[in-house]
Amino acid sequence: MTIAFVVQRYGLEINGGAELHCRWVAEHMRKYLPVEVLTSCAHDYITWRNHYPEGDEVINGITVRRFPVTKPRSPEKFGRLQNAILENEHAEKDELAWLEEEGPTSPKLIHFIRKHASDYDYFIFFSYRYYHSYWGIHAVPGKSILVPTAEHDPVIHLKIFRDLFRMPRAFVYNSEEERAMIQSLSRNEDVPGLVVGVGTEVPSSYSAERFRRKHEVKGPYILYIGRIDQNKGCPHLFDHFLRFKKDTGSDVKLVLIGNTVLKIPSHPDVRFLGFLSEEDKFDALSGAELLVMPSFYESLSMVTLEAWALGRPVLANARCEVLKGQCLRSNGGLFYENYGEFREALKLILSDPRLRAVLGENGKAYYSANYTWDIIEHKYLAIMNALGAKP
Amino acid sequence: MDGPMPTETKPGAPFEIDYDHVNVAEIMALIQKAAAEAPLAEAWEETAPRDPAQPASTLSPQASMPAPPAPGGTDWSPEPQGLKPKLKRILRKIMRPFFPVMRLLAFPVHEELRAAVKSLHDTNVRLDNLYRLLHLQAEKFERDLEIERTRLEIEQKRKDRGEHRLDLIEERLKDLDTSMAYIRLLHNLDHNLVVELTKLKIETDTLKSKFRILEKDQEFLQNREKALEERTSK
Repeated sequence: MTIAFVVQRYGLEINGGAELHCRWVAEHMRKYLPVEVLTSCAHDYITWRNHYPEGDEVINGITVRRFPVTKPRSPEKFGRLQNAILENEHAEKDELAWLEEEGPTSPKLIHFIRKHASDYDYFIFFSYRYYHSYWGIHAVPGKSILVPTAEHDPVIHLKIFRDLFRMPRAFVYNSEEERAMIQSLSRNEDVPGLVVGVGTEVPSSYSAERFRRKHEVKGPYILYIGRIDQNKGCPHLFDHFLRFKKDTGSDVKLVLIGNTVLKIPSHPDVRFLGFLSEEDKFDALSGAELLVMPSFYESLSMVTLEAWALGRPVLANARCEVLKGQCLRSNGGLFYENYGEFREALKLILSDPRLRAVLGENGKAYYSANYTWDIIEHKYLAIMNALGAKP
Repeated sequence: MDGPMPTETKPGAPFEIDYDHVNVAEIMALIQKAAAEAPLAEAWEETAPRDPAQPASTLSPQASMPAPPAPGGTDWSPEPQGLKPKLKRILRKIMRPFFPVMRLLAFPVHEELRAAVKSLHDTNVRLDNLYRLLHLQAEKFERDLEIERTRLEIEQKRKDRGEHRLDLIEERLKDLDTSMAYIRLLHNLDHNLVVELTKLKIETDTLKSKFRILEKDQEFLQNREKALEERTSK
């Protein structure tokens, strides 16, 4: 009895949300079932150029079968095509042309799925919006489980996806909000689905002092972890933070961890540290007053879960329904919709250590109740058991 | 003493927070109220980046980024002081009537007009585009609205059907109550009948016994009668 995870990219050095999510789940499910991964040869998510050799390799004990991308993506052409379909009336074939351009276009991967459908009991597809999921689910609808990792972005309204969401055998959602969004778009309530999410690995030891010493960070700081990008709401975060400093005269610092595609404001209290190791990341989290998540689009913020795993509170963008919903359900963080709310919420959390501690404890309890690996693994097994594939 | 802990206010904290039962929704309501009442409440609205799927290289990262205030900037003063600025101001006041002539001589008016017309044209094109988008959006909303309305009607019908079924169930429940009362009465009647039958059975047995005694008495008397008759005839 074998399960295949199908994902757009796969590798130890790939840190993209859905890809990392897939790798972690595959590595954990290996304990219970024979697992394989079907993926492309791409490493770069912008062009999907072939980087890894075609064929099989073993990564952390899992057989990974790679298939070549026949047509790399042209970002300019893709951008134009996307604008055209989002702004104009269009036919289904235009949406399929957009999907083809989005990639990673790997017909060999789809052919393999179709040809070897009987070799696997279930195909677990990650990320609804890519070529591999759309055509893969069309190839084996009765054996497909979709982990949509959907965000509230405009392409989810395309007709091809409304139809796609009614096809899989089951869904593994990342959050209640994601399930509600997909169900309201496609009316697929009859397709079974479970809110699962993903666990996280918290190191056994971490030290805020080590982080402060290593990176010369003094005084209280709030932390942002992730790609520093417009889509992640970072320009608003910079603006809000600098205005907060000016309005309140607070000595708090903003520490940024991650790769950047934006110009970071030059200010003595904005510290950009670049991409750091996992150890440094958890050290930084443990010493932060709070984690700030300004992102507009998240299907499940892993870093928010990591902050809660360490008992740190979160300040999230309320425009992201998932983050807001998680803060409300966990009572582990506050959220903001505009600068006024950002200022008041940050002022409150920074000025009240007891509230900080209580929010952190609530977050930790929420994490322990929903996102430890034991719980995640058993939810996946429960889905497969419910569908009839008893391991 | 049991019961909920009193709400605590931390010195300097603007809100009353029940630390034993922290409720983020309640705290957020207080924060939103405070943000709305604050004198510096912002009218500036955040707008989400329109296209999360677009690769980073095609984005214009600075497009919607409001200019952050210059760190460590000095306070702005409305009027510079000193003799030189004062003379400049007086000179500017004297020259002011001649400004249009100077501009006419210095800049070709038609260029300015062309620039203005071009700018207006560009604005018009943008407005047309926006109007078209708005129109498309409105049509989409109308369609969505129509779908929602239909869905609502279906839900309403479903609700009506449900209510009707509820009425039927209530009626059946009433019938059931009446039947239960009858059954209870029949049960009592059965019980009484059993008691009466038992009593009758006992009475029958008593009468049978009495009858047997009477039969024996009669037999005895008949025997005595015969004996007396024999003795009399002798």
